[in-house]
Amino acid sequence: MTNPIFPMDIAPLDDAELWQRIARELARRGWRLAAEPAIFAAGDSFHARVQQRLTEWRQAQRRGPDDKLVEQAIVHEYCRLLHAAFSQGDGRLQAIAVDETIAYGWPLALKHYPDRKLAEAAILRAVHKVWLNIHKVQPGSYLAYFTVTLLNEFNQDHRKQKRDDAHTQFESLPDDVDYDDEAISQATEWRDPAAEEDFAELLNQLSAPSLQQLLRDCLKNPRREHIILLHFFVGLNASEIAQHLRVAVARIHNEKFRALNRIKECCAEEMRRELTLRLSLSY
Amino acid sequence: MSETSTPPNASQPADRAPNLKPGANRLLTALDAAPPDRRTCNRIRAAFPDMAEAELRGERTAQLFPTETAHLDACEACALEYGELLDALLELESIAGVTPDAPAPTLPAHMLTALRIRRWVETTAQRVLQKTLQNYGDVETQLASWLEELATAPLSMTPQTQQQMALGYGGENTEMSLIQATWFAAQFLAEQYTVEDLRALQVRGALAAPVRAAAEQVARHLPKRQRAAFIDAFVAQAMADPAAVIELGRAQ
Repeated sequence: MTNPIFPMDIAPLDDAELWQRIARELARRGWRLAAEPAIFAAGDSFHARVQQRLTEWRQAQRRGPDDKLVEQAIVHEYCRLLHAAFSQGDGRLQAIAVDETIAYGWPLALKHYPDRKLAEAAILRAVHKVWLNIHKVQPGSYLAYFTVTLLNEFNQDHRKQKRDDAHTQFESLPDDVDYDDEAISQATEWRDPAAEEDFAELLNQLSAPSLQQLLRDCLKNPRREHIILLHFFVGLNASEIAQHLRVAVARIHNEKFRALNRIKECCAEEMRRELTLRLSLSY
Repeated sequence: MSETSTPPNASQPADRAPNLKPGANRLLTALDAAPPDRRTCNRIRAAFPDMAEAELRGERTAQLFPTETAHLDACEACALEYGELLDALLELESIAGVTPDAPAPTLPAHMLTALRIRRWVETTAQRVLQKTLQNYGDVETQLASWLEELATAPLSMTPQTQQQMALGYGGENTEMSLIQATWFAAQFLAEQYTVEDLRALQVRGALAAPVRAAAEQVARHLPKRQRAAFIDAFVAQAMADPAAVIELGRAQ
């Protein structure tokens, strides 16, 4: 990020390898370190906090300190620093936290608005709202809260723009038609053969041929069939499925609902029977 | 980064078929779910930041957030909004450290002033209300509600505000007029003096003078019966913690 004096403290950890991973990830993000007695007591440091966070998460999840976990532990602790800086009455720290917050969301704002002034207005409004509601924000998910607020600003502006356009156009397009969707929904091929194999293995483990056949006959769309099975029965998050299919997470949710609606229209009773049977079986 | 390309459950031994009951139950619930009401949606959306954070670090949200996950299986609007949030966060993660084409904006001066003085105003307004009124409400909430206007315009002593403050006495806005008066007096100090100016005044034992002057200037717009009490309470609170008053000043 941009500010060279954001309040972090540097202290060596016993775990040299982890220290280096944290340092690499901080460098990748452009987050720099500076001593800040207002936030760190003696003996406390950013690295130590990340290490502590990792220990807690690893115990809870029973997994090793993979790169994703290290990355997110850094983001989590960084969020806590921003939140602490924003919440305190110290104007200097608050100004630094604001600059860092704006720098984080700025690429997203630029992407959503063709006009830079509109992007600026939206991100400043979002920062202002976060400032007013800082007491509602969980420290560790501060940046996610800010992103939610920023997206709300985009959506409000988008709706306002649509309303304005509706007044100026003779005929506007109805909101509920996704003209691109027909072609997309028919696309059943997998984008990633490796992912297909992984998922095929998972689906084989399900050992539920009648359920799979019912979904196949109803949906007639292998990808939606897989989304339903992986999401509900394997328990994968939408983002995991999206990553493997290389599509947006929102798209996975969209297809999930189209599949659910199709099931409701086509074979709701059969599906209920099948699912009730599954619930009655003992394993 | 060594992102795994294998879904976490793929490493499960093939002879141990996953238990289908939770999935069957979840799908059945999704198929039979009643249309969600707006209040539930608002409650679920409040959990989005925490859910997204957990999902990004690879935790299974269905286990950590069962109520929220069930809602996302039934409410398309919320699910799409949550999906958009994850897409945005993933995108921001992927471009972390990349400098955008256009430089990021900075906060306007009036917002920076507001950041500096808000906490002090909350505390001081509390004291002012204690000394001036017998009953009063939550200062923080009232101040936050008034500060919502800051996003579009700076808060200043416009004729309209002056009128509101003057009419506040005996009306419904008694508290608000005193909170506003506290804000404007603090704002005056924060804009007129640097930290160094205020520190120098404190060293000379002369800090009370500008504090009193700021309070008196704003108090002119308050009803007569409130003026003396407001000024006394404002100055007393300021002089009780001079270091906090010094921090209100501009950096340069």
